[in-house]
Amino acid sequence: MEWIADHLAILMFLVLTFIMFVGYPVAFVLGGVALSFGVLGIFFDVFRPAQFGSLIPRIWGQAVQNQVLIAVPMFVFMGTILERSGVADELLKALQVLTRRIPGGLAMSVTIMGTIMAATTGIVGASVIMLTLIALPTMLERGYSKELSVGTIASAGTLGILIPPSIMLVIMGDLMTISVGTLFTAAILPGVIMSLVYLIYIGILAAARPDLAPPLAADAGPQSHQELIRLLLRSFLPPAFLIFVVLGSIFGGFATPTEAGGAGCAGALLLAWWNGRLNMKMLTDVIESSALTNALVFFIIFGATLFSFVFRALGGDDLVAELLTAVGIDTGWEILIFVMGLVFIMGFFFDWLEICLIVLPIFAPLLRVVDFTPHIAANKDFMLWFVVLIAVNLQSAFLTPPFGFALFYMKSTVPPSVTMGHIYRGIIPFVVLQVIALASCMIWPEIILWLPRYFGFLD
Amino acid sequence: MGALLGVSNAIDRLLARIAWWFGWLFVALVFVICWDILTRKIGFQIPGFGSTPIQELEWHLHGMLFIFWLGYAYVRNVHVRIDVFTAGKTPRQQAKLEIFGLIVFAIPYCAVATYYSYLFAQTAFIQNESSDAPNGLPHRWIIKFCLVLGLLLLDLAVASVLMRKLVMLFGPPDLAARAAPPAASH
Amino acid sequence: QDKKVRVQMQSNFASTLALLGPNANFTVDQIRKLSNGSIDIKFFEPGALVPPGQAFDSVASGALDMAWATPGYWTGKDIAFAVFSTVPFGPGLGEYLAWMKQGGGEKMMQDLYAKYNIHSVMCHLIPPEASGWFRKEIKTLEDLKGLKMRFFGLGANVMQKLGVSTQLLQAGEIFQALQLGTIDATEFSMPVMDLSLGFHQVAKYYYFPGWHQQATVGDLIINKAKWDSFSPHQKLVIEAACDQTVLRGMSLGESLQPKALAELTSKGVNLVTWTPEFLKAFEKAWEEVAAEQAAKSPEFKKAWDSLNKFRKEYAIWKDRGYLQ
Ligand code: NA
Ligand code: NA
Repeated sequence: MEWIADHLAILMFLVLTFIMFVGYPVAFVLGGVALSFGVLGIFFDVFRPAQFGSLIPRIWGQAVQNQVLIAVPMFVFMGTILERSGVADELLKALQVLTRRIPGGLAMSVTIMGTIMAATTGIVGASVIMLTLIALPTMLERGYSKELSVGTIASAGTLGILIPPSIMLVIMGDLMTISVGTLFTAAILPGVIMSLVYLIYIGILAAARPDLAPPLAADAGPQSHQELIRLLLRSFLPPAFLIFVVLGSIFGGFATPTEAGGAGCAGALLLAWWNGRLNMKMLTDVIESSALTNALVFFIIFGATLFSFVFRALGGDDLVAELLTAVGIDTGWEILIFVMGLVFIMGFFFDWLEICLIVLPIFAPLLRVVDFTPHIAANKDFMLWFVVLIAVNLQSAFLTPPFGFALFYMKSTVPPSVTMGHIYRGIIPFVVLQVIALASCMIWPEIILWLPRYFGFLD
Repeated sequence: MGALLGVSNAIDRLLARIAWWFGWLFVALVFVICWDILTRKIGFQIPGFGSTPIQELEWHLHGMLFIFWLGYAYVRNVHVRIDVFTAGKTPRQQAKLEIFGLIVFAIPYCAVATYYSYLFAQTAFIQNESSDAPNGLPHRWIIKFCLVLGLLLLDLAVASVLMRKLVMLFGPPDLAARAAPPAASH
Repeated sequence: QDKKVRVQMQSNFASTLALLGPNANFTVDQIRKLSNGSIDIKFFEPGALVPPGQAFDSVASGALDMAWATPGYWTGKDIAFAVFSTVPFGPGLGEYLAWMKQGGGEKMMQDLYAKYNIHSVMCHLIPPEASGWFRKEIKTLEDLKGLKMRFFGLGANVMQKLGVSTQLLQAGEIFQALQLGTIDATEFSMPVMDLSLGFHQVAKYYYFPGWHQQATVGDLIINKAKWDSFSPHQKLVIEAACDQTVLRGMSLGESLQPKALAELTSKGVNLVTWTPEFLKAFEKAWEEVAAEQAAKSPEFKKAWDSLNKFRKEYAIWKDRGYLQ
C-alpha cells in the first residue's frame, strides 16, 4: 500500500498511456485520469480535496490571462483567411513551378516558409496550424505522400519554438535567469541548421523516391519570361506584402510578435478583399473554422494542466529526481546524457512547459558543479549550452506520440483522409533528424555558443 | 427518447447561436490590436484609456473567444481524439465508447471545473477585484464569470452528446438514425 | 514534540533569480531546520503549482498552503497592498522596517490579509531598484512626452501624468521590444538582477535613483486554516525564519549591488542620475496619484495615512540623526 501511495504519479502515467487510445477527446481523458488519481491520492492521504481548486487558477493563468498566447487565435485566423482566399494555394503553386528542377521543391518551400514564420511567432500551435491550413491541401493535391507532407509541416512548424522569438526560451530564461537576448542569439544557429537538415533530407528522399514527392512535368508552368513575371506578380506580391506587414511590424519596432499577428490578420483581410473574395459568407466560414480550431487548442490546456498538476502534487518530481540516484551515475557527461534521454522520453507525455518546470530545477544545480572544460571553452557558459540543448531536445516533445501538441493541432486541421496513423508515421524521420541535430549540438558546442560569443554576450 | 433528441437538438442550436455571436470577437480583436499599434506609434491616446487597458482588453477578448466555443466544439466533434485503434469500430461500438468516456472522464471533469470556476468568479465579485495594474481595467469578475458561463455551456454540450448517444443506442431505429451525428464537417 | 506537517510552498521568484530566489530557498531551509523537521516544507518554482499571479487566490482557498511573494502583487485585490510593499517616494530600508515592525505596519498588513483568509508574515526586505533602462538619454521633461515605457504598479500612473505611454508587456516580451524600439524604456529591477537578465545588451542608459521603489517588502502568505493548525512553536519558527530572511535580504541586497554596477559600467552602460528637476516633477505627480488613490480606496487611505504620520514624526530624527 505504501508503495502505491508513493508511486501514484507513475501509475497515473501508465493508465494514461493505455486509456488515451480509447479515442475519447484527449483533453477530457487527461482531466478525467488526473481527477481519478487525485481521488486515489485523497484515499492514500497524499492529496487534499482543496487542491483540485488549483485547476481554475492554472487554466486562468496559462490560457486566459496570457497576453502572449493571443498569437494563437491571430495566426489561426490569418491562416484560415489565406486558405479560403486562395492566396496560399497560388503562392505554393508558384513556388512549385519555380523549384521544379529541385527534387521535393514544394516540400522544401514549406520548410522555408516555416523557417520564416518561426521568426514571427514563438508559439508552435500558431505556426503548425497556419502551415497546415495553407500548405497541406496543396501538397496532397500535388500527389505528395501524406506522411512526407505531414512530417514536413509538423517539423517546419515546430521550428518556431527554437528560432527567436520563442515563448519557450523566454520561460527557460526566466527559470534559469539567463538573458533572453543571449538565449535567443544562441538558438539561432541550431534552428537554422535544423531547417537545413530538413531540407537536405527532403531533397535526398525526393530524389530517391520521386513517387513520394512527384516532380512537376518539365513543361508545366510558364514557358516564357513574360508569363513567369506575370505569375510572380500575381502569386508572390500578395504574400510578400503580408510577410512585410508581419516581419516589418516586429523589426520596425511597431509591434511585439504577438501584436504582429493581429497586424497580419488585418493584412490578410485586405488581401482577401483585393482578391475579391471578402464577403459575408466567406467571413462567417473563416470565423467558424478558426474559432473551432482555436477552441480545441485551448481545451487541451484545460486537461493537460490538471494532469501535470496532479502529477506534481503526488510527488512526481521527486520520483524523477530519485530516478537519477537509482541509476547511479555521477560524472558530468553521464548526467548530461541521462537528462537529455529523460527529457526526450518525458516529451512523449508532457508538454514543454511542464518538462521545463520539472527538469530544470532538479538537474540544473547538479550540473552547475560539474566541469565541462575543455569541451566548452569556458565553464561559465555551461548553463547557456545546457538550456539550449534542452530547447533543441524539446522540439521532439511536440512531435512524439502519443502526446505531441503539434500532432494534435495537425489532426484537428487535416482533411479526414489523413489519419493519426499517417501523422505518427510521418513525423518519425523528422524526430530522428532532431535527435541527430541534438547530438551535433552536444558534440560541437560552438553551434550554440559561437554566435553569442561573436556578439560579445559571453564575456 | 424523442424528447431526449429534441432537447439535444435545442442545446446544439443554442450553442451554435452563442458561438456565432462570440466568433466576431476575432474581428474585434484584430481591430483592437491594430488600434493599439497605430495609436502607440503616432503617440495618440484616449485620455484614461491608453495602452495598458487596451492591452488588457486584448486578453479579455481572446479569453471570451475560446471560452464560448469549448462546448460547441464538442458537439461539432472537433476536439482532438487519438483514434488509431477505434476509428474502425462500428458506430454503435463508438457510441458505447463515447458514453464510457462521458461518464468516466467528461462528467466528473466538468463538475469539478464548473464548481471551482464558480467559486473563483464569486471571489472576484465579492472582493470587487480589478486589474493588478492600477491604471488597468476594473471589474475582473466580468471576464471570470465568462469562464463560468463557458463551462456551463460545455456542461450542456456534454449533456447533449450523452442524450444523443443514448438515443442512438436505445431508441427506436428511426430516432436512432436521426441521432447519429452528422459527419464531422470541420 | 510537534506533529509533523507537510507543507507546499510556491515561490513567486525562480530559485536562480539573484537575491530573491536564494532567499526564498533560505526561508524554506530555515523553517525546516529550526522546526527540527516538524514542518516538512517543499519549495516549488513559480508556476509549478499555480501561475504566480494566482498564488493569492490559491492560498486563500487552501489549494496552496503557502506562497513566498510580495504584497505588491495583490493590488488587484486592494490597492492598499502597495503600501505594505513599496510606494513611490516611500521610505528606505531602516525607516520602512521601523514602520512595519514598530509603527504598526505589519499588523495593519496582517489585518488586511485576514479579510481574505490569509495570514501574512513579513519575510523579506530589499534595497532600492534602479529607475529603469532607457535607449536614449532623457535630457528634459519634454523628452518624456510620448515615450513608450514598460512600467508596472503605481509608478506607472506617475509616469502617465508626465506624458509617458505605459505598456504592460509580459516579462518575456520586454527584451526584444526594447531591442527593436517597440518600447523606449523599461523599469525592471535592481542592478544585480538586471545584470543577469541582460538589459545592458539593448539599452545603454541606466537611470537612478529608483524613486518608485526605494525599498521592497516581501512576505510569506499562509492559508489561515493552515496557519491556525500550527503549534505555537511552529508559528514561532516561521516568524523567526522570516526575520532571518529579512536580515539576509537587507545585508545581501546591499552587498551585491556595487559589483553588479561595476560590471555594468565595464560593459559600456551609462549610469545616469535624475536631476532634482525630474525628481521634483515625479514627486509632484506622485502626490496627485496618491491623493486619487486615497479618495478611491479607504484601505489605501488608512495605510497611507499611517505611513505618512509615522514618517512625519520620524523626520525630526532622520534629519538630525543621519548625515545628509
Ligand atoms: Na519563433
Ligand atoms: Na510528445
